[in-house]
Amino acid sequence: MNATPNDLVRALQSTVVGQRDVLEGLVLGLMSDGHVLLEGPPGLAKTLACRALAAALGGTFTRVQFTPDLLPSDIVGTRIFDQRESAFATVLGPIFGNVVLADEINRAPAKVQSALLEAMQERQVTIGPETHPLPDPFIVMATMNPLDAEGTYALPLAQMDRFLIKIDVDYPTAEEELQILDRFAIGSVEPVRNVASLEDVHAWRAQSRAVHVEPKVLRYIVDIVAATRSVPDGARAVAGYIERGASPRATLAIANMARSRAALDGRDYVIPDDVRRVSAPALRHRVGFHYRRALEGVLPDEIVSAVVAAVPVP
Amino acid sequence: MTSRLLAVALVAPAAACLCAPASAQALQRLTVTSFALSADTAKPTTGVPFHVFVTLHVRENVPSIQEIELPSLAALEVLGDERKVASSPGGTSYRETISLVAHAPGTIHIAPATLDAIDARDGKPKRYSTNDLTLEITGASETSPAPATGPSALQDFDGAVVSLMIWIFGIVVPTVTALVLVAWLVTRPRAAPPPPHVVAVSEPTPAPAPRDVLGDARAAFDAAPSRATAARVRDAARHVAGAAEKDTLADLDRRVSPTQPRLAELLTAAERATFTYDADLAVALDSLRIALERYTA
Repeated sequence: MNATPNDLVRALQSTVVGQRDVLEGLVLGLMSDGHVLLEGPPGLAKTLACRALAAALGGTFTRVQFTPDLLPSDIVGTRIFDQRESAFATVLGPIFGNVVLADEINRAPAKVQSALLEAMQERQVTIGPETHPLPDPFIVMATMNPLDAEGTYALPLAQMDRFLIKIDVDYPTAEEELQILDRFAIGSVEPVRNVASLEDVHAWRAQSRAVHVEPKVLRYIVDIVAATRSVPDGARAVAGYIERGASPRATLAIANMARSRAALDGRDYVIPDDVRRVSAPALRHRVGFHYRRALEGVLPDEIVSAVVAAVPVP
Repeated sequence: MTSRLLAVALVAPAAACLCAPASAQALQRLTVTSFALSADTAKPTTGVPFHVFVTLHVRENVPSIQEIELPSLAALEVLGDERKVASSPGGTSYRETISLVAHAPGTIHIAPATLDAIDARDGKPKRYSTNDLTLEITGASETSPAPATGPSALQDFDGAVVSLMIWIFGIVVPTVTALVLVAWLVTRPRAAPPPPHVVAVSEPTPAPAPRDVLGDARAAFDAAPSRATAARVRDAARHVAGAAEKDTLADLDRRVSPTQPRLAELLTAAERATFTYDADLAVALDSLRIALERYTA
């Protein structure tokens, strides 16, 4: 098809009103071959955005609604005994899709979360004696609702680390809400056109990997991640809220995302701006915060942004 | 020589001044213990190279010293410039040696060098200044008077003895006494670190014009276009745009695009030339040259 990543963003915008950062974040995750965690209150088009992405790509889309009684086999699949054949047959679970929506991932117990996150990392699933590779491209988009804490199982930091980025979905502006009313007044929303192929996704990933990063910019990335472990003087005001800094996986995530960001903007070299723009989504779920943060109502992004801003731009 | 160095050491801290630079958030946090401007001769000879030194010592161990502005040396020909930064747990010493040559006799006044930094002792942004320098440039013939010979030399002998005595008791003895006193003051055990050599003044020392900074960078870039000189142009353009250390291109673009589109264009071109890959560098440098011409036109 020879579509560009911006064609995909435009196709998503024809369905989802506003939320440009969310839509670009989904495309950046796709280009960087990483999984995406979306957090936001209900009704903010998280599921719609994921569904639209799958439709625009022409790949297979599966959805798993996470509930407290979900079992690992409900996600990865299981082996059942076929009486006619007198043999065990493997039934693959919903994780075998190009775009997998794990809705309200924090409503399932740790055992189920773990099964999903292991599959995300290994990109293959073992059921009984057989190992099945997951399709390529394979991207998991998990959603979380931050409002209803009752009956949820918070994801441990180590598991959150498996997500390349965490996108915070915010309420639309008044203008955007008026557009939503206009769009839905005519009934059902127009389905998203299939604008890109799975081969296009592979080409975007290759293009993103080829983007040049100068050593000075690599050093900037390392300095940003190091600043979450040893907070610089410029961000001393927020140092007390950080309990644990980000892991080297965050460094890799920022570098990959910055490459994709540059490619999305039509550049084949990374500038410090790219790094700055992807730092908060790559770090906000990887930094361990002190309980004081929640008590004092300080947002994770306020802390992460202060730390990133305290690192001098090369 | 000794007395001149002593004079520099005593004058420099007293001449330092205090003000609030504009981009305080971008400044280094430093504890400045000395900051001085000196020359290896007070009376350079035309056509003979001499050196001017900017020396700085701070208590912090930092890899580089930023925001030092050198004075204008327009009346002299600059032969070279060498910077040395020595860091140790005891602090950082910065020494910049500028090699110069004068071509016309006369008096030359060199303005103080300045350093913008956040004073680590009180967290306030300050501008530190060195002492200034006044040099008497002499013609080549004035420096080597004819040697005294014949009867006139004998007649001047008594006068020479008197001059020698005045020299010894009037200058050498007080100088040696002062040096011993200073050495004792410096080496004696102290309970607390000395206060900063900073004097508050009501008016800040005028910073060099932004265009001058860019002009210097452009001259270096025109002489040898490369990634390094492009990076220097980028630093200068960011300085002109009033960038803080944390500002990225997008921050500056938002700020300058509405009023100074040519500067925004220059910043973008400099960003590309600094960070692009080698195969694209020639094109990027050419774009930067065009952007510089358009900006300075």
